[in-house]
Amino acid sequence: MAEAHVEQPLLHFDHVSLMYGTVMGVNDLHLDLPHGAYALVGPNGAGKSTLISLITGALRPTLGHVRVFGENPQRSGNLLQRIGLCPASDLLVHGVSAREWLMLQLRLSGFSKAKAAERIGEVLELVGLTSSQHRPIHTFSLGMRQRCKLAQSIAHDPELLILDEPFNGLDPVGRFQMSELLIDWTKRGKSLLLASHVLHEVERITNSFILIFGGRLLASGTAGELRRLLADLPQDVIVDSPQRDVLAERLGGQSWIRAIHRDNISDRLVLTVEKPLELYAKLAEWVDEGAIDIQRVTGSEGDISTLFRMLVSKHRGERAYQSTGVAS
Amino acid sequence: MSMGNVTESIQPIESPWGRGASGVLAVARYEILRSLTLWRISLWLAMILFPVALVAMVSYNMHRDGQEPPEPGLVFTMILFVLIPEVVTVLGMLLWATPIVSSELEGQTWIYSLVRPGGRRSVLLGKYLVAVLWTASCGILAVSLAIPWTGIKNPTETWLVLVTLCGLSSIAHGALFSLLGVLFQRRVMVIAFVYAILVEAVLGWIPAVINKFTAAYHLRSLLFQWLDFPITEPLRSSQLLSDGTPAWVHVTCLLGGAAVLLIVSCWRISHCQYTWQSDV
Repeated sequence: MAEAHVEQPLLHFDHVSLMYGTVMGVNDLHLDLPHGAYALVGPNGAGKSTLISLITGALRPTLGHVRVFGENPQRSGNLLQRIGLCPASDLLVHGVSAREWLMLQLRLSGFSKAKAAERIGEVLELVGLTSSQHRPIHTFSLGMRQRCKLAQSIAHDPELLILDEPFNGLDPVGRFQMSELLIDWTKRGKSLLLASHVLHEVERITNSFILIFGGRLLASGTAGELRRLLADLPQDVIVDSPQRDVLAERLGGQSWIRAIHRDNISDRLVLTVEKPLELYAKLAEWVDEGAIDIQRVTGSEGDISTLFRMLVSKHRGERAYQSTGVAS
Repeated sequence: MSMGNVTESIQPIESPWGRGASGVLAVARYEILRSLTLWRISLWLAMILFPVALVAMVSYNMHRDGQEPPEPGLVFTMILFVLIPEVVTVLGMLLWATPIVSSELEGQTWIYSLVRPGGRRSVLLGKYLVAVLWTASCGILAVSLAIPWTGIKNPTETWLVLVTLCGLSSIAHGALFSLLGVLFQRRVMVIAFVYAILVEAVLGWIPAVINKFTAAYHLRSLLFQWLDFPITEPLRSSQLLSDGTPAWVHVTCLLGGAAVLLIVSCWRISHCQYTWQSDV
């Protein structure tokens, strides 16, 4: 059984669309993911939670198919045994202790009372709630409730852990501890899907990204693959030169220049460039020839968040893909 | 925090039936724990004491004025029947069984049941079990406390019949209101209240064939049969009671109907896509 599971991909989305009435929740999503750790990144309302609901079988796609470990999450109850979910919503439970609540969750997962009690002890230790296990959950701080949610998601030792905005409400120490735990989780060879709208928080945990916006897949791949994608996308480059008018004239004749702006700062040009690498080569050539003096070139940061901003801008149909924060 | 000391060997219960039963019992235990609040216990006590106080007042006034009815046993039994297996039970189910899903959605805890194998059905059946226990215990205690005030000649037999009817009423009405709770996400209490008034209170007492489709008809018929109350001509022709149908048929209708409704509820809760968040 276990061997058969390994052969199946972690997630398979076959042209999946989902409608909430007339609102498009997910739009023609096609994605294949092998086992591993992934960051699902997108701004609030991008469709991250909807995607998670499709994976857990809480929602049925309007079009297309979803497969998790090769199984339809709508039809396979046993599949849920292999998934742990830590949702984004706050844990609003009144009048019961963390231990009682975890006992319910584990027994719903099919554990006997004795085994559940044993496991609860371990998992509470793991998330640092052992001393508060008999306290009612509604008296917990937000960070403690977050840890309690995490405890229920890993208590049955799933193969795929899905976390929706796990850093919400955590203080810096809590964020660090959460990151450490998730890094540890991936080191154990378990799969992870981490949904967040804050990119820098997830970059520490995984190198694989799924970028979504408006229910559509913008890009997916490793940081390296995405950076290569960045090189092919139009971006803004700032050039400081005492001969900016001459430079502007020369650049105006290049096919890969989309826009040239004179900045308020003297000697500064803000360029929107379709092929940044060609620009850098040409600037080097002109400097080498002694034709133009260049003081400084500031390109895009080259990180994933820049790419994400650019992809979102592109998706929205904006005129220039902002990467430097300078108006174009 | 480190994942290093996780036990690898923990395995869930193998048998699906065993897992299902364990889940239902776990939900029931958890719901009972959550129910032990001052507010819920006060409500439970109020539902016990309200029919007892009413019966005691009627009895006191009758004795004070010396106006004893020709058949006090029948009059008091009917008062007890209407107040307890009908009103108290329906009210109890309205409070405990109807919000089966809506309370989970409002409390944002539904998502945790969704990601457990059989979690949805366990929540439904576990909560149904607790609703039946709470409501039936209310009815049984209310009957036990009210009967001594009535002066009925066969108190033990009347107690036994009314207690049985409380149990049957809780099972049947619990299944009905659970189905309503599963079918409707919003304004479910209003819908269930309208249902209780229109169907159980109005339709159940209309002298026509349609009242046979209500739980009240079968409970009423069982009361008259088990206590050997005479069915006089106006009652017989009104079709408010069955005449000649064996008691087991009524019991089967109530229990079988409850089973069918629970199966429908289980199917519905397993397949319905309840919305609990605004994130699109």
